[in-house]
Amino acid sequence: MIHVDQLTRRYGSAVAVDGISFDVERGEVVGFLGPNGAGKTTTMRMLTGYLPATSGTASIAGKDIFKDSLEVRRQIGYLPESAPLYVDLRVEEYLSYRARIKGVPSRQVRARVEEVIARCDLTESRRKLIAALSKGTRQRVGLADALINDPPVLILDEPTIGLDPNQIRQVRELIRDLGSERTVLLSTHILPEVEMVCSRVLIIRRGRIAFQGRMDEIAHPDAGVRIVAEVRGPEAEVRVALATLPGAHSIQTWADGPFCRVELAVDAGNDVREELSRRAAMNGWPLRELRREQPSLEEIFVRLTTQEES
Amino acid sequence: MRNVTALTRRELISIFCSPLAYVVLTLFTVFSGFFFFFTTIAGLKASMSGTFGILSFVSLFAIPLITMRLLCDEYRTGTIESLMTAPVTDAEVVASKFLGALAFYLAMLAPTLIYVAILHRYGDLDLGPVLSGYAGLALAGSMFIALGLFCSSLSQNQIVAGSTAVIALLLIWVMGEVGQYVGGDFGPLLTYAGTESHLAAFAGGRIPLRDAFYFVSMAAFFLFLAVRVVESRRWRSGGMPGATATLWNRLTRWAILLGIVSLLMGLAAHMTFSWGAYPQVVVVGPVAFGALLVLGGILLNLRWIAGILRQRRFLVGLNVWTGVALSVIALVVANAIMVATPQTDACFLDMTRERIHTLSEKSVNILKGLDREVSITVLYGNGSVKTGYGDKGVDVTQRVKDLLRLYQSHGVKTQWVDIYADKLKAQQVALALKVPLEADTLVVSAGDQRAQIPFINLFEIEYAYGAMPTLAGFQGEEKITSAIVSLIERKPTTVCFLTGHGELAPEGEASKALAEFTGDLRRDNMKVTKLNLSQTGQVPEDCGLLVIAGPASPFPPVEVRHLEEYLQGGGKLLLAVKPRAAGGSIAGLEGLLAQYNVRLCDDEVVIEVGRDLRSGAQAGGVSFYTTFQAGHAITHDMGALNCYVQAASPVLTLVPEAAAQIPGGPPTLRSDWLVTPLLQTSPQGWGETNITDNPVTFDEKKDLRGPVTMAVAVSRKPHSAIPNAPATAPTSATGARLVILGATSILDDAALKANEANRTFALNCVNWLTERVTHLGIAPQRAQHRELAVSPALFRAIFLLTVLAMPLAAGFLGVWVWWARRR
Repeated sequence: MIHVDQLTRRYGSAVAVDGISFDVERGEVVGFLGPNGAGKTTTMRMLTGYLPATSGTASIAGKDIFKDSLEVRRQIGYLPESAPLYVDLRVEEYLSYRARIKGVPSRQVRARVEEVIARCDLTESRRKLIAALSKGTRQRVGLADALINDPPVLILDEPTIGLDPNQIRQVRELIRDLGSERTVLLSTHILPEVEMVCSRVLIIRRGRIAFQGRMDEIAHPDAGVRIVAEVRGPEAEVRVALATLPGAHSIQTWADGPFCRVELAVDAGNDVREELSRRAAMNGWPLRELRREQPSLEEIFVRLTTQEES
Repeated sequence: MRNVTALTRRELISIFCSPLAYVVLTLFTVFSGFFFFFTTIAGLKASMSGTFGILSFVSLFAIPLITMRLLCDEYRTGTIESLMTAPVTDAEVVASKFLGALAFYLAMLAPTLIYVAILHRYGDLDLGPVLSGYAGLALAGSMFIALGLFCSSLSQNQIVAGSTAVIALLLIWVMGEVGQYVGGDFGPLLTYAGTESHLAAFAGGRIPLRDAFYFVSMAAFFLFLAVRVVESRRWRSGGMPGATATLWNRLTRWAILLGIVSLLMGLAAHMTFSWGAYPQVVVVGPVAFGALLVLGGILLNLRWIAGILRQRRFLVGLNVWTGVALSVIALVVANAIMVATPQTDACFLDMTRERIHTLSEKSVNILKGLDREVSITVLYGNGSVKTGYGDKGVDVTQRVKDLLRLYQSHGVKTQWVDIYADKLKAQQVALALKVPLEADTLVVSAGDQRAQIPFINLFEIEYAYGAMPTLAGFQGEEKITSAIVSLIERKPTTVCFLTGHGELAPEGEASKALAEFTGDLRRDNMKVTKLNLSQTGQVPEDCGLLVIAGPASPFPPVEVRHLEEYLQGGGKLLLAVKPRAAGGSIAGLEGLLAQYNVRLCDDEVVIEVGRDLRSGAQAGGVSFYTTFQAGHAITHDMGALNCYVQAASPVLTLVPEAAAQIPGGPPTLRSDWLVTPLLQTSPQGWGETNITDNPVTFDEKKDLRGPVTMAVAVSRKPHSAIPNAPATAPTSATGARLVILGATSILDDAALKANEANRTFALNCVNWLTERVTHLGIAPQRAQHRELAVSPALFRAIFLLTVLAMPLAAGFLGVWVWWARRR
């Protein structure tokens, strides 16, 4: 649905986006991550036709974003960063205006406006001037605007920013719903959000793609799985007994009173928990805690975005 | 289109709900109300033209206040991002902003309709010029808005956008004024480019194609530019491809620029010094140095340049800039074609009730039927055409220009020659046309014939005691068309001045000649010669008009016989006499006159009792002003004018009983000659026999009772006509025609100089006698004295309404809208 090929954008001599390429399939919800200034917003602006690319191409639903800009814009619902709105309009006025310029047939404008108002929880603010709305409500008006013409592709730049926890939950639900029939590319800083909503993740760093993969592929062998255990026993003995577990790469131990805390890095394919508990039982060390830890997205994010370029 | 509707609706909400709009509306209403009241109402003029001038000027400031936010606010608040990523084209965005601002501008003008209503209710307002005035405002407004929009697209700062627009509009506005000072070839260009010259016609009741085209083309041009600027965001990307530039790269790139500058400097030096010797190094040095830098820079940066050329932004940019350049050329060429095509000048709507901007059908038909080139040359001095008396006269340049433009549009060539400023050209023109160089005249010429008309003949001037003379009517069309007709239809008429009996000569000493009158005849395309019957034996065949002015000695019978033959053969005679008391004599002519039913009482002098028509003081005696009798073709439209007369003899229609008593006259009165009085005294005047009495008094027995006729016209009665009907149109049947004036003083230099009506009367007599077309029946343009009838109470009410209530209402409307939107 979204095809990006060697897209580059420079500001003066600074390179904001440096030849990135990726694809997003129909029905995917892709999280677009990266530290501030990594080029997320620039990429989204290029995809929506707001900024021209210095070089490279991209197409949405088979249409080139530069040559066929108008057609591409018809396919996209775009929520720009910080959702700029006309503050001198009422919410209803704004949404029906947007519906009209996005080609919603006159007869359906009212119905569409009603629908997005309901979906984005704007019923209470519908008659208010946008100038009088809180940040979160404006954000939801922006989201409603992106949805107004029921586009096949949604590009959302930080959709949950400024929302309260309840609203964040609602918006996540909404995006998850949308993701079933539409293609969604969303950027965010809130990593749990990506884990909850997205089926795939793209991490961008200094204008280049640092990582991309499905959420269930994120437990890559490189990333590793950790086994965390706490047993009552002397630290040195415990360390010796458990270091030799099959598939364990490394072991770290801490003494904690009579207990010993153990962290094992193991291959993803190996589950050593049964073997661990057997060895603990054999040594007569009662087991207080035993769990397997997948690496969090946050860890991957931090690792990918802080390591020096090799 | 659907998009434009939706976008425009958004613009309208934004504009009409913004407090700024109501501040602008209130200020606009304050200014326009103030000027409307203190010029139009206080001046009691039932015309909107002054107000239109003010409105267009205030728009120069009001419109940028509205347009400044249109685009730059989108950039500033970031809403441009959602706008540009919606499926709308840039042209749609710009068009909708233009329409929104135009709608507000028209709404801003709407309150001024109240002024129209006031003028319509309390005065005889001509609604045509009001319509054309609003059309002009709307057209000019469109251009202002387009320019403002363009300025708004350039900046992210409202204040910068607004002030740029005001400055640009003012510059374009004053460009016209500057053009008039500059003069030369460049001046008219500037004047054309300026706004002001294009607005003038609209307030005067004309909607000219050219001026409308100017505004529309300018508006289209600036809208096009605004679209390009908005569009540029889609292709202007920052940065250059390739690796980051090293210091060496940068230096060599700058060197290319430096080289180009150096090359240009060398070329400029070459052009500047080309007229004289100069050291070669001044040119060769910079050119060689520049070429070296450019070549070297290019060679060292080949990859970088190739990269630029391959870049998308370069290709698109080249495309766009070519488009902009082409649009500039299109604007200039389209306007140039408009101006260079004479036909477009004639394309306009005349909205005035009297059709003052249109030639009458008569003129148009005559001009259509022209078989040779006719040209009109205006001779003027000191920059403007003036007419009338007094130190400065009345400036009639614009009136004459407007009129001549109409002739020009029908194929008549026109040229204007300032005889003081452009002496060489003036000399050439005078030589070519064979006319004296007199300022404030116009020369109508066709082939080798021409007629010179002083502008004073084109205007009716109203003199009020103690006030500046004002133009009451403009007879330009009548006079110019008549002149054209006389030029193309006739050979020059020969006018013979009879000599040999002490008559006044055509030229010479003032007291013994009719130099002014002769000058008028020559200007009117006539040949003036002297004729002595004792030498030639008969009146020559080519004599179109015989003038006998103030004979002082008797006519021998043989000469009288020649005169009789001349008249019987269809001759024309203008006879002006002096009373015997003033040394004149018509001895020998009595019989001739009697044949035409006229009796001249040269033994009497006409005395008028009455008032001096200029000062209103009691006046009279032998010199006086008297009214024309309007019942004849000669005096047809002179009923309101007065003739100066000094020492006149009564000229009477012969009564049957007296006919037989006149020696040489016919035994009975002939019924086929019609005698029409042209000048008459009041009933209180009389014909005095004894002028030496002091004081002169009316003597019942000897003197002639008033009203006394002093001038008559004689012509053959038209066959079908009612016996006493005045001859208002020249008859086709040729025959003798006579005009007999009881005083030469009506024609002499002093009278012609002192009183314009005498001059007109003299020429009309000649025109009628020679059967030239004298009256086409084209009504003169009267100055529109449309006044307001406003009582003091009403005056106050209008003041309260226009100066106070309307601005207040505008302000309250703004507050109400603001409050209503907040809810």
